[in-house]
Order: sequence, then C-alpha cells, then structure tokens
Amino acid sequence: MPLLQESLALSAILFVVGTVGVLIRRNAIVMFMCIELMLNAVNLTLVALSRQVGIEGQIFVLFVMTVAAAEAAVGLAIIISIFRHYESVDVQHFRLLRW
Amino acid sequence: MQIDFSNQLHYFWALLPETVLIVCALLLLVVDGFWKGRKGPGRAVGSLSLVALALAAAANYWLLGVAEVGTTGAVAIDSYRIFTNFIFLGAAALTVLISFDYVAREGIDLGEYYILLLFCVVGMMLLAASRDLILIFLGFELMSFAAYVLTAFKRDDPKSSEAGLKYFLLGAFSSAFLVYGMALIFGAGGTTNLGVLREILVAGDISPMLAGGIVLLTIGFAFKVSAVPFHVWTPDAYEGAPTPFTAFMATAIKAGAFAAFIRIFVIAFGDLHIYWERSIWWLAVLTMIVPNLIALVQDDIKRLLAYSSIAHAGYLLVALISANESGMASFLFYLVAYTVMTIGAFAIVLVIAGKNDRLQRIRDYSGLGWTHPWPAAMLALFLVSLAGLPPTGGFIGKFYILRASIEAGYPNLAVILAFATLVSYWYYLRVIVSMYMRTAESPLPRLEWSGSLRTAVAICALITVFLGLLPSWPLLKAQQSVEGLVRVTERVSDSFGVVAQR
Repeated sequence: MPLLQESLALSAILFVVGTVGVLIRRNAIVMFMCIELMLNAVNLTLVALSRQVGIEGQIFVLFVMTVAAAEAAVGLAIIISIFRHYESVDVQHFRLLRW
Repeated sequence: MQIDFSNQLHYFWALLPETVLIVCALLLLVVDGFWKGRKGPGRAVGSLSLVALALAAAANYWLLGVAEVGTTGAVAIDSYRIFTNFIFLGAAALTVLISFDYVAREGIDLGEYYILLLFCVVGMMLLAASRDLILIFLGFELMSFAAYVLTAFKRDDPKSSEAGLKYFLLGAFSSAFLVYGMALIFGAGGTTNLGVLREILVAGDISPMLAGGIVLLTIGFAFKVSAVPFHVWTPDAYEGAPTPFTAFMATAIKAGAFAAFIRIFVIAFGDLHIYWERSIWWLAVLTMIVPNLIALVQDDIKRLLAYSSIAHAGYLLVALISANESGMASFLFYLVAYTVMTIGAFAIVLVIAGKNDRLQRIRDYSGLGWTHPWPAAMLALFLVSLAGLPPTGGFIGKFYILRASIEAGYPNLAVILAFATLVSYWYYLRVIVSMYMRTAESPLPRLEWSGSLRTAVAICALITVFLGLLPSWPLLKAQQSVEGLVRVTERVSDSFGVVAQR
C-alpha cells in the first residue's frame, strides 16, 4: 500500500495544527478556519484509509464535506450576529458571560 | 412485521418516527413562510409542532411491534431506541409548552423556533437509532446545528449571541475530534457498522490506531455530554440561551449524546471495556466533584442549574461505566427523572425571571415561598428531586445508579457519588432556604404564567413524584428496554476472564 503511512502522518499533523490554532488564536473566524482544517485532515485520513479498507471511507468523506459546508453557513451567521453587537470578532472582547 | 433491509422500503419503515417528524417540520416551514394572519405564525406553528411530536410518538409506538433480523442493520430497531425516543419527544413537547410564554415576552415569537426544535429532535432520534458511525455523525450534526441557532436565537441580546458563538466554536471543535476518532476506528475495524465492529473488535487485540480512535472519540463525547474537563462551554451556553431552550439543552440534547455514547461504547466496544473504563472512570469522578464545588458559589440561578446539570452528567457516566444490565436500566430511569425535574425547574426560573430575564439571582427568590406559594412549592419539589432526597424520582434514580455501580464492582464510584450528592445538598437547599426563610427585599410583581406552562409544570411535578413513590413499573419498562443489550454484560465479564487467565 503506497503512501498510506505518509498520508496518515500528514493528516495527523494537519489535525494537530488545526487544534493548536483553535486553542491559541483569538479571532473567531480564524478559529473557525482551524476547525475546517481539522475536518479536512479527517477527510484525508478517510480517503487514505478507504483505499485499503473499503469504500465506506469515501462515502463518509462526502458526508463530512456536506456537513462542513452547512457548518460554515451556521457559523458565519452566528459570527455576523455577534459582530453586530460588538463590532469585533475577537473572542477576548466577549465578556458578558464569564468564559 | 419483520425488517431485514433486503428491500429499500424497509429503511423507510425502520426510520418511520424520524421520517414523520422531518416531513412535519418541513411542512411547518412552508406554513411559516406562507402565513397570512395578522398576528405572526409563531403560536400556530408551536401548536402544530405539538401535533407533529404526537404523530412521531405514535409512529414510535408502532415500532414496538416491529422486529428486526440480526444486529447489523444500519438502523437499530430495539426497545432501547424506542424508550429514548419517547424521552426526546416528551422533553420536546414539554419545552414547546414552556416556550409559548417566553417567546411572546421576549419578542422572539417566530415559527422557526419550533421548527428548529423539531429538527433538533430528529437529530437525537437518529443518534439513538443508528448503528453506523456515519449516521451517528450526521445525527450529531443535525442536532447540534439546530442547537447552535437556537442558542443564539435572541438576536437583540448580546448574551445570547455570545453564548451561541461559544457553543458553536467548541461544538464544532469537538465534532472534529469525534469524526477523527470515527475515521481511525473505521481504519482499525474496517467498517463503520457498529454491529460488525462488535464482532471484529475483541479484547487483547488492540492496535495503536484503535486506541487513538477510542481516545479521540472519548474526548469528542466528553465535550458533547459536557464532562469535566471539557465542560467550559456549558455554563456560558446555558446562561445565554433562551431559558426554555436551556431546559431542552440540559435534558434532551444531553440525553441524545448519551444515547449514542452508550450505543458505541457499551455495545460496539463492549469487549474493550477494560481499555476505556479507566479514562471514563476519571471523567466521571471529575464530573461529579468539580461542578458541585463550583455551584456552591454561584449567584445566578441559571448558572447554578447549569453546573447542576454537569454534575448529573457525571452520575449518568457512572451508570455508563457499570455497563451491566442494571446500569443501563438505571441510566434510562434516571434520564426520565432528570428530564422532568430539570425542565420543571427551568420552567419556574423562566416565569420568575420576568421581562428581559431580569430576576435570576438567588436573592431575587427571597421570600418567594410566602408571596407566591405555588411556584415556590413547585421549584422546591424539583430542587429536592435534583438533590436526590426522597420521596422523589431523583432519589430513586440515584439509588439505582448506586446499586448498579456496586454490582458492577465500582464501590469507590458509589462512595464518590454519595459524597458529591451530599455536597450538592448545600446549594440546592440554599435556594429553598432563601425562598422560605428570608423576607423579600422587593416583592415580585404578579407572575404571568399561562395554562400551557402550568400544564407542563404540573406534568413534570406529577412524573417526579410518581417516579419517587411508584418506581417499580417505570423501572420494569427500563429493564425490558435494555434486555436486547443483555449479551453485552456476559461478553464484558468474559473479557475480564480472558485477561485474568493471562
């Protein structure tokens, strides 16, 4: 199976980069982009595995992509609604509720 | 009727309650869009959504007479699913009943509120039904997306938007963990079907990929059921969300996540119990202790109930770790008791808060017992039940969980549970003391609670007391519902035997 280990390692690295990004960045949109990066790392894992394991992985990828698109719609709507109140998307400014 | 999925139509029958509910929700969207009345469509859509829930409950009841062939269908038709479906539908109906007053008062009387609630319920029912990782993922996302929007539903209130954003960011973050875990388990097990995974994954043969998958899945689920230390979003999301929806989040959404949690861990990973029980043990211990301590210093009653609901997730985790038949039965029993008492408590909080949710501090409740005896008595009943004192459902539920954890060989968990309960008495009773033993600083105005809200509170109170006084029938039902999962217990003890022999 060529490149299976490499693909899995790459997707693990991408996933970690996304996780670290969510934890250290304070801009809501950048955090959201990092989450999308994590989901894409998962997609890469699934595609790499499905060559060896079975077709279900590729079906899963289609669902993950659809869900990520829907997530973008909901997430950006929420970010816009909070931007109207604070004129900012920096989560450090949102302090009404103790974080 | 027999269902073996040889025919595509069988999927339709197997998913009948979900199908009914989602078709009703879509029809309601159309009604909402084309509404011509002078007043907004909110109230009408709300009433119709109750009809939709009743239809789905009828379809769910019909499922009782349906048998399935084998245990590897993508959609499970077992009484565990049917029982949890009734909990979700009941919680949603109670939430709709307590929402009417609130949405009118806060100016969010829109049809979408109820429609999103229905979509949320469909997601939960899929979670309880699915025996396939892909379907579980989709159920989670369907449930969560509706929940994000409903949390941020009070658009004029910066608190609500803030809660929505926090819930969304951490919810999406946890979904990524969940789906990565699923991908690794798919890689290790070679299939996404839980029934097949159960046959493939046996104790003593665990690859690094599988271990990683289980860890990531545990983290994802810990976020979803708000187990400590993955609970940070919970108090904020619960405080900012519209109060009736907070009640729904604390009960039904948590129940939905737990339903899938059990389906995956206890059933598919039943043989691997020895590998995951230690990490969940720690989660349960932290989740029982930490929120109970934080709740001691809360002033805001909504936040206090949020921490209380985190602690209750810890009690449910104890039932999950037990992974035996009585553990599962006590889980279902406690879920019913927890659902009615939490929704009831939030309903009273919602009434007393008044316009713009001003009165939510505990000192606003001082003297309530004398100025407004009925709401105070109801709130006291629900708090006593949450604290786990007899003669209420909360007491019996906790007792069964304790018994199950001792039967399963976790006496230390039972001791910690009892200790955490003792600590929790302090903050539940603090509210009651404030209601009955202090004088009001500024008396509350006349409370406005409509017939629908009173009905919901009365139902919650009746069920709470009923579960406390006559627990045998509901417990019998819960036991019958988990009988199909019995095989798990035997296999778990077998796997212990295998390890002992080595």
